[in-house]
Amino acid sequence: VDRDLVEQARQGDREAFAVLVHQVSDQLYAVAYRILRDTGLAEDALQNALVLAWRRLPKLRDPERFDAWIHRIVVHACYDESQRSRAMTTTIRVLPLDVPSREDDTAAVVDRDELERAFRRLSLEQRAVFVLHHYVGLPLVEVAETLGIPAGTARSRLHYAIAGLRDALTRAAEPATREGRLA
Amino acid sequence: MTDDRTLERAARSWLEEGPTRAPDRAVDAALSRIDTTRQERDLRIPWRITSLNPSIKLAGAAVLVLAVASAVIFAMRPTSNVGPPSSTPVPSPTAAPQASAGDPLVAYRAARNEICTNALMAFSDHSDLVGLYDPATPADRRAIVNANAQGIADAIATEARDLGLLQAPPELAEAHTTDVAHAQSLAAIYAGQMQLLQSERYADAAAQEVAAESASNLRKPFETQYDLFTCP
Repeated sequence: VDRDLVEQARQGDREAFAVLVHQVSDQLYAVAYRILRDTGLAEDALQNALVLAWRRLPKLRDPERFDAWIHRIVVHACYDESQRSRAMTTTIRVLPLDVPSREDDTAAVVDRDELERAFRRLSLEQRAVFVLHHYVGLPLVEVAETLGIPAGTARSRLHYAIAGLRDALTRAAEPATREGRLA
Repeated sequence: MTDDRTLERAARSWLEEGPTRAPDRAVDAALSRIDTTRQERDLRIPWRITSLNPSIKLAGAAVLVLAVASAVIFAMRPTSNVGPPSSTPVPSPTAAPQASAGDPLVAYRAARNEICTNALMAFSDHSDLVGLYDPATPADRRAIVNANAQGIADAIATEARDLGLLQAPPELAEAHTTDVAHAQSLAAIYAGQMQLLQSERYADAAAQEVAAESASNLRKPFETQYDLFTCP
């Protein structure tokens, strides 16, 4: 991101901010979608994050930190959006259950559906750490810095995200309990 | 999916799927809202005022004195929080006492930030911990992740020791002492976790993450209040 553009936007230049928006919105939307797993919620989170970023931009001390700063805003917008809509648990219940059987489809497809279900069972905080680390590619220290949490907390959340995924996938692989759990 | 690395690879690949372009309608709607949204002005004084030219500092101090005198004389409180940004710091009477040059708080902040940065670097240097709590981790891999965990535990112990030696300004001495206690708790947790790992009690070691997170999070209010770096 161009430091000069950030500085101009900080000074109230809407055109400069619009250029910044076009530079970062794809990435922010991709992150929001991957945390929320819902395109409508991700769109709302992106909108709210961009407006909030504009309002608070003069308070950003170091323009070099713009990228991490706006990622933090979008993650918090995801938290807010999820709370507001209360849609997350509903979404888990209405997921299509016609998962292809292992006999007539590839294990990879089953894994993806199972991953989707398992991921939705994680907390938003765990999802955010997981997405920033494994999708955006930030080292854990930068994840912590971006989210404004201690590195130990980021490490812990990542650990529990992986443990949660593993646990959910293990349980999904047990046919006897599977139907009862999803019913 | 039999180990964490396989699981992480699969999850990474799965995350790559899905939309990567923001819908135009969302971006346009945001820009439309921004057109009618005012920015919040930042009236705080930069903490790193020590880097300013001495004459600017002097001018700032003069402005501060005038501002305070005006406030007293006219019994007025500063109310404006909008308007064009200033290229030089605009002091606010409420923030001024913390920002004077040579302030012990500034020195404390710099010293603590350096200690915490060193500890954070350890997390960065020893970030490969995949399989740390997995009993199936092969021996060669186990040696690597245990060594990384030890590197982090050592850094946290050093951080707690160094913070304990740090002289805090009187106004935050009590809060600093509490923060040091939290850092020592965290160091003890990580040390205990290493013992559990060496005893191959991986589930118990993993459970220590909860305690570590709690101890870490207890430090956050102190760091936020005094604009300090986040310690691990």
